[in-house]
Amino acid sequence: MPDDERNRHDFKNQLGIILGFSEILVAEAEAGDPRREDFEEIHRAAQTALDLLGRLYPDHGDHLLDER
Amino acid sequence: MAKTAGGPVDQKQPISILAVDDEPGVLALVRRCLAGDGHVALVEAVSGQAALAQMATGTKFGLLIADLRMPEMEGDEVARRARAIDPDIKVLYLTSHADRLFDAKKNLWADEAYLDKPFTRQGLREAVALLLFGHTTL
Repeated sequence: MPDDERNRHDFKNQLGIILGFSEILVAEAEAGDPRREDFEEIHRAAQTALDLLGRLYPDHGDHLLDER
Repeated sequence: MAKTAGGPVDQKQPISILAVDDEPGVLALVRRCLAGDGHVALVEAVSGQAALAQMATGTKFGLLIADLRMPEMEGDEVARRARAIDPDIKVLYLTSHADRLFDAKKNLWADEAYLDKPFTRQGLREAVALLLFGHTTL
């Protein structure tokens, strides 16, 4: 896998971890928990970053063809 | 959304799951997503070699959750070697490229499924349940 693609993959992995944990925190926040909006902001920002990543560095999948 | 093939097993039996990903944070998320199920025991590995070493201990795993893209040994190779040890093990691949999965992996065998990353807790739990038990409730 080329370095650029590896970096993109690793960056996406990190965003996925933030998204996954923040989604769980949002779901588990009790009604009225003041932290819920904070968790939602983290989740929203990670989703926006993921969308940005896709726009800035589109995944063409060339490495998949190179690997096999 | 998970895509799957294969048949169910008995949900009442305790199930050991082996998860392998070179990113410890992903393993932590898998652990968090599957937490709370007393009948599921999760074993984690950060490389294919470490996963296969776990299998070599003789532990019977019902399911292998494997990152498809890992630096030293890719997930489908881990699965191939895992099946050489235990032909009955089911496999859930985690992939960032589900829309082009078959560019990298030509065949999806029976008892294999894949889940696109980033995944949600519900998505992972449904995929695990679907693969192991044939329905979407873990």
